[in-house]
Amino acid sequence: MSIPKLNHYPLPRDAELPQNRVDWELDPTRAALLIHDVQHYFVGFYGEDNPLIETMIQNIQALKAYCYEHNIPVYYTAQPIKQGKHERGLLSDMWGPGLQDPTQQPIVDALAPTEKDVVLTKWRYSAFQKCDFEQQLRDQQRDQLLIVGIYGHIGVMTTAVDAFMRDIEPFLVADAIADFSKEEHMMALNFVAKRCGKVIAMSEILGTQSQDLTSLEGLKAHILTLIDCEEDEFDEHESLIDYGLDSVQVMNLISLWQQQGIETNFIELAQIPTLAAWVELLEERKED
Amino acid sequence: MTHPLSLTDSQHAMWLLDTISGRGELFNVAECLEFKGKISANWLQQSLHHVWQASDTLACRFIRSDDYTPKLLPDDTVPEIISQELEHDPEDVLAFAQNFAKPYLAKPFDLNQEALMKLFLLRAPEQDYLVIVAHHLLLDGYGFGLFSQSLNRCYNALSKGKPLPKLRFTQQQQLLELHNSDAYLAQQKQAKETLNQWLDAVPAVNTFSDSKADVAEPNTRLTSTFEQSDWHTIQSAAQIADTTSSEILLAAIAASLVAQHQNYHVTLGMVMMNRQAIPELSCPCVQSNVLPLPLNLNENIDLSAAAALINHQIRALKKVQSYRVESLKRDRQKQGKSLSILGPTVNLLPFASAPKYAGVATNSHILSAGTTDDIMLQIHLLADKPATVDFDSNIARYTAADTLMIQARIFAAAEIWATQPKLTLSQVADLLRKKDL
Repeated sequence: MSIPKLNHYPLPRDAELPQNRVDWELDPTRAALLIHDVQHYFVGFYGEDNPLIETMIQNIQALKAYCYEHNIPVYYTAQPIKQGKHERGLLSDMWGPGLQDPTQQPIVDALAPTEKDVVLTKWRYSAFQKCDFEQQLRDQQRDQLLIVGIYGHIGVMTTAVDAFMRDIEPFLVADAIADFSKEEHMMALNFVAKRCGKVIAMSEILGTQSQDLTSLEGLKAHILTLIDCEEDEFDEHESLIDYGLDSVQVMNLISLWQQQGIETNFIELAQIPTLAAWVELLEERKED
Repeated sequence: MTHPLSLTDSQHAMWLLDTISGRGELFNVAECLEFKGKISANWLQQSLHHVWQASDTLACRFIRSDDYTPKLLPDDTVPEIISQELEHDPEDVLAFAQNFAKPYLAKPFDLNQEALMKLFLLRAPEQDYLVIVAHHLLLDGYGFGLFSQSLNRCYNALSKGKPLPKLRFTQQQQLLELHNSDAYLAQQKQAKETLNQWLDAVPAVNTFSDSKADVAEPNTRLTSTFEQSDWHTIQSAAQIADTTSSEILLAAIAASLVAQHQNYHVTLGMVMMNRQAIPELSCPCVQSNVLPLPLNLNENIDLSAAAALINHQIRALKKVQSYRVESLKRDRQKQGKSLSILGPTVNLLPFASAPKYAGVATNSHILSAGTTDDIMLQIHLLADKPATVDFDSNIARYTAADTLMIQARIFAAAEIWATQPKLTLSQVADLLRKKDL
């Protein structure tokens, strides 16, 4: 009846994100940030030292710092403890009694709200339900909502749907949410991108560019992290196999390119195992 | 007039295994390429013709001279793809293809007389199926991939009305010259010393069974695929531990042996691609090798440390991978040392691809990857999809229940260690034992 024990999984890379239907641009003068349900209780299902949660928290910290810097208001949701049957409604049938222990109610320490932030009481999946959140956003003249936190396919996604129906543009930050599983995480991103909002990566908001693994420079930088060679000694026309690149690392690259819609295979790469030849092949495939 | 050429060490080793065993069929391998639609038999035969004749390591016979020295005799007779009509599309393609290939896998090739590949195009109303049965002396896993990929390139060129591509395969003579070069021979000498030193330091080699069996005993296969969610956790653990999913699987195999034998020295048999130089990478032939991967683990290492040790040892193994396992066994025999030098054999296969034939998608099914006297784990690494593992085991040593238990233990070890990468090896082994695994 309760939430299951949750495992870690890799957060989606930029190249894995779904295509957005809308071309909304994030505008700091119109945006607010919602940090959704990052309470000890919900985080606890991931166990101690869970790397997924550690990364999500680091990303939310960076995003919150960005919001402070750009005068973007920050909101939190937190569910109350010991809700009565009437207050909790059908959630009891689905998830049991929910949060009972007062020590589990606060937001996790690493993201503790400050005086500048607003903490909303959360009653249902959507942060807007039984709450004046919409009015608070209107008062602040905010009609864009960045959403981060847990769990992606439940409260986070539902809040995005609800925001959309209130003519507030939801932006789901793909690598600052966590979910029950990667499948459910991706399902939430796909639904929002196709039906009610925009899916966005941390790198896009913060202006930090991720490596282009199809360009000579981007691929070289990536490969140099895998092999034992200094940058100034590396020759793009020398065999990468001689440099110690192994078949499994090549397979990982194939998978990364596949996520960008570029199909290659191990055998064709192995026959021309130089960086220069690979970049040329990738260029051809992009044109295909 | 074509002259017979010498065999490479790998070809020679396979030829000897075939000849000495007198059971050539043990070295047959088979694959079924399932086309998700109908294809042109004519284009396929033309493609085969072009690929076959571009390589003397394919277009040849492995003849035996009067003094019993095997030679490679170029022979450009191209195998005919035998076409057969099927009334219905099979419901279970793998089972159907295995059943179809069975009699051909059971029949030895005549090395002197025959091309070492048979091809069958099975034509059902909705789909076509290409079943290929070959002798391991002709191709290994990489060689098979190179052959298949070239066939696909040619087919697609024909379908577009383009000229057939120029296939730049390395020929036998070039391969022999590379393998006879001073640098290569010096590398072999060094490899021999290193491998023997490693084995001298190994106290005992354990596998999952204590009994012995002959390679001629039949093998059975259990195929298992990781759950998507478990695979995501393994991928995530690989990111955290700065390693790869395959090294986590090797760590899990090692952990399951530790749980069984309570010995922290683990030796795996690693199938090595054994192709370093570009000419070797462009030759559809047999070249792979199986060598010991000794892992001196200890009870306190966590996943990150275990994966780092495995990575370090594989890098060292790569430097010595050209020294044949048969030569290594001979060295051990001469020194009066144990011939038991390999634990369970592991084959990491990153060669999977699903090429389209003029827009028709394909799916590849490996029907048989050869024979083992112990257990061989063929790990298919499929880009972002969960890995599939074939457990091929010798029935004289493993019952179906034994193999199922080995599979459960290894998968559980991978899941436990990936979920909690900070657990030590002894804790993982304890958890496996507590679960009766």
